[in-house]
Amino acid sequence: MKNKSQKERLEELSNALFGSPEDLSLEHALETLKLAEISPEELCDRTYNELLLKARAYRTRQQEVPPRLKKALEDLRPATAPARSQEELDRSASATVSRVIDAVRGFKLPSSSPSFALSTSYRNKKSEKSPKDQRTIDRLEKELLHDLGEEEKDDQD
Amino acid sequence: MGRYIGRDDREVANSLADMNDKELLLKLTALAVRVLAEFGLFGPEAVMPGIGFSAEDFAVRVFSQYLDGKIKVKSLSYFYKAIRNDVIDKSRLLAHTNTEYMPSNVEHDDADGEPTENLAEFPDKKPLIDHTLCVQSLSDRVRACVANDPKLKEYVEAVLDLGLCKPAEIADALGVPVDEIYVRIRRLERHLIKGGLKAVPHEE
Repeated sequence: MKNKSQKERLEELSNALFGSPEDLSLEHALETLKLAEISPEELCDRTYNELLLKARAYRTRQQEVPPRLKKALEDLRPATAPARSQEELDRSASATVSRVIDAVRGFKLPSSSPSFALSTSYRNKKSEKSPKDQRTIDRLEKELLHDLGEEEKDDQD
Repeated sequence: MGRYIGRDDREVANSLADMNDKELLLKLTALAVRVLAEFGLFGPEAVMPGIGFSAEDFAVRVFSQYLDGKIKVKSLSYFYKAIRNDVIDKSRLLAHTNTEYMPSNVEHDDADGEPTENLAEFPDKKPLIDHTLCVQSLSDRVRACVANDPKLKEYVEAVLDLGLCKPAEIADALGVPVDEIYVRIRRLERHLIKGGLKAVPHEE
């Protein structure tokens, strides 16, 4: 392997036999990792932790964390990582409620079912609920009622 | 690594910049696994000659340097090429070291004071990649692997004997749909990663 042409020949041969790296899909990559007995979750968690240390070192030196490193920390952040701010906690709670609502929407009620109203007993409770929570609940309730109304209309048509 | 990747420092990594970093990390690691396997270094214990990094460790380091902005690349192909060249060069360096480097434990046992290596204490005596025969070695191992599998054999012959390299061209030559070629590519890669292209029994 002394000259460039031999390296190029090896690259061509490899791409022809095993496919070009540009054609590598995520599914394909995951299959390769599985064959090599590498856990994608452990790999990502480990890398995330290393990157956290790296970002901390930048901050300790009072240097700005490179934008690419910041983006990677966002992309690799485990779903189980604790929220870093109240805003993130609110966003995460809202996303969770939205997922539940979406799952409920997936169910089709039989057309013969009685009409129903949402209970307001929890909605009007004042304890442990911020105005922002209340707005989120109101918005989601409105969306749900609207969707149910639309579905009812469709069923009648 | 930086030696190859750093060549195009001025180029902006457009396609990679748009990719989710989790996806990039997983793809990079998969490519590192593939490169090592091409040189017959496969399985959970496989490490890069000379530096002892597994494919996983190596990919994480490359990824980390990429994020720091120390290396700038434009495509996965470039990463792939750089990883392969690094494996070749590390192996060459190690081969060179093994014959010319004088470690502190050398013994001077002749009258002229010429050093003699104390091989038992030499740092790394793992088998080296035969870098002069990489292409031939890969071709031979692939041929041996597919000898009992007509469909893979047909595919490998199209690449090695007819010199075809694009899946669409190979599909045309063999008269099969291009999807079938991708299936064979995946299957051949499974052999590579799992068994280092040892000859395998026919699966169909």
